Amino acid sequence: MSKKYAQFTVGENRSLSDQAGFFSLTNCDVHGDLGVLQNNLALTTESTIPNEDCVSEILSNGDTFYFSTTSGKTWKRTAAGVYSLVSTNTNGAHKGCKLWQGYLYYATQSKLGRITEALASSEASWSSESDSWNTFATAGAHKPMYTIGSGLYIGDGNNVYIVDSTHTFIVDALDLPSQFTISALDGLSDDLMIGTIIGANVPYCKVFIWNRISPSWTGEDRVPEIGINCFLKIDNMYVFQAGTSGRLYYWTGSQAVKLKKIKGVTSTVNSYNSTEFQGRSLLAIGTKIYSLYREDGDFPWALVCEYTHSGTIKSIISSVGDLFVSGGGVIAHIGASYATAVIETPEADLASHIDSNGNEMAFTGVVIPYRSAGTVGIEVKIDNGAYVSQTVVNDPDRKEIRTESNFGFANTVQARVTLTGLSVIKSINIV
Amino acid sequence: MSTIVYKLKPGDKKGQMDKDERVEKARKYIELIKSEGRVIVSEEWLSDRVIVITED
Repeated sequence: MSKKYAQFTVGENRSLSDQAGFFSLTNCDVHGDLGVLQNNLALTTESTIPNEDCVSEILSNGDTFYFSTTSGKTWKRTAAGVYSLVSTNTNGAHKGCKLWQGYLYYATQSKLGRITEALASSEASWSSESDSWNTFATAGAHKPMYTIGSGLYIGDGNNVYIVDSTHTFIVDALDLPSQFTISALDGLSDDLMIGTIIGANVPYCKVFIWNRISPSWTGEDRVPEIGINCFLKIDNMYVFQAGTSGRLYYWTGSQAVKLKKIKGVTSTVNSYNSTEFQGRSLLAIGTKIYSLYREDGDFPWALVCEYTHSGTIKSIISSVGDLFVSGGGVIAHIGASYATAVIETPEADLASHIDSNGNEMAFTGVVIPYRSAGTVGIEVKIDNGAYVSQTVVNDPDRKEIRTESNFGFANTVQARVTLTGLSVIKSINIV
Repeated sequence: MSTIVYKLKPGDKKGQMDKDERVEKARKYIELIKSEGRVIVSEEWLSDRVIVITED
C-alpha cells in the first residue's frame, strides 16, 4: 500500500514512525497557500555590524536598537536599514531592553539605564542616556523585562522590580523564595507570569503567577524541566519553552501542561528568542526558527522550521514586513532569494506492502506531484539505513517528479526531499 | 530628581521575606545607592514603604 504525505499544515510529527505530519520541515512555508508546500525566502546578512550578539527593541518610529550581550555597545538600525554605533555602556554587557512610557530602558547585570525614545533616535551618538539610572540589588545573571498594565517589570535574581507609569523605581516589589532565579517574564491577561530556574543541575523549576498588587504570588506550578527559557508571543494562548529538550508547555489557567516537543533539541533557549511575524509565533532554537501556528481554527497547532540562520541565534525581532535575527555576530533578515527547503517524511512501514493475497509488494519509488518545480532532489533511506541520493525524473506533462530506480522489497522507507529554487509541491508519495 | 520606592509590606508565602527582613534590606539598598555617590534629597519611612528621592 502506498503512503501519501500531504498534510503539510500538520507540521512536524512527534517521532520517526508517527505518520501524522513530517519528520522534519526546514525552511518551509506550509501556511501561505493551504494544501501545498513551498520554500520560504532565505535569511541573508543585512549588516556585519553589530558584530556581537544582541538583544533588541523596536521603537514607535521603526528604529531598532541592538544591545550587545557581550559588551556595552549599542547600535541603531534606522527604519531604512542604516546601522550605526550610538553608545558604549561602561557597565558592561547588556541583559535586556524594553521600551516603556517614552523611554528606552536597558539593563546590565547591576544597572538599569535609560534614554528618552525621542533622543535615542535623534542623537547620532548618544549623550543624553543614563547608563546607571538605577541599581539592581541582587545583580543576577538574567534581566527579563515585560510591560503590562501600568508598569515595566524586571526580574533580578528572585525579585521583581517595577518601573511604574511615573517612572518611579520600585525595588523588590515581589520576592520569591531565594532558591529561584527569575529567567523569563510574560503577561497572563493582566497578571504577570514569572518563569524561573533553580540551577542547571536541578531538573525542575516553577512558574509563578502574580496579580501585581499582592505582596505574594497568587498561583504557581512545578514544571519538571531545568528552567523556563522563553515565553512565546502567541495570541490567545500562554505558551513557554522550558528545559533543554525542546519541550513547549501551555498554561491552562492554573497549571502548565505539555503542548509539543521540538525534536532533536539538546540545549537551552535564550529568552529573547521569540517574536510574532505576520501573525505567526516564532521561536528560535540553535540556528533554526520554528513557527507555532495554525492558519485555520480547525487545524492543529503546527511546528515548522521556517528559517535557518548561519549562527546560533541570540534574539529575534520583527517589524511589519521583515524579521531580524541576531546571532553569530551578524544581523540577518529575510532576503529576496528562496532558501533550500528540506522535507523528511516519517518512516513508512511497508509491512503494509502486502496485497490482499498476502504477497509482498515491491517498493517502486517516490513520486512528488508539483504545481511548480525548481531543482528537486530526492534521497531514500531503506530499512533505517543511510540516505542514498536518487536520480530523479521530471515529467512536466503529469507535473510530477519521481525517482528513476525501482527499489524492490523493503520493510521501511523514508524519503528526504530537497527543494532548491522556488518549488511548490502537493505531496510526497512513497509507492 | 528620581523616586525609588521600597515596599515593606511582607508577603505571606513560605520563603518570602518578613517585615524585619524587608526593613533591613531597604536600609541596605539605601546604603548601596549612597555608596554609589547618589545624593538622597529625602527619605520617608512609612508603615508599608520607604520613599527615597535622589538628586539625580
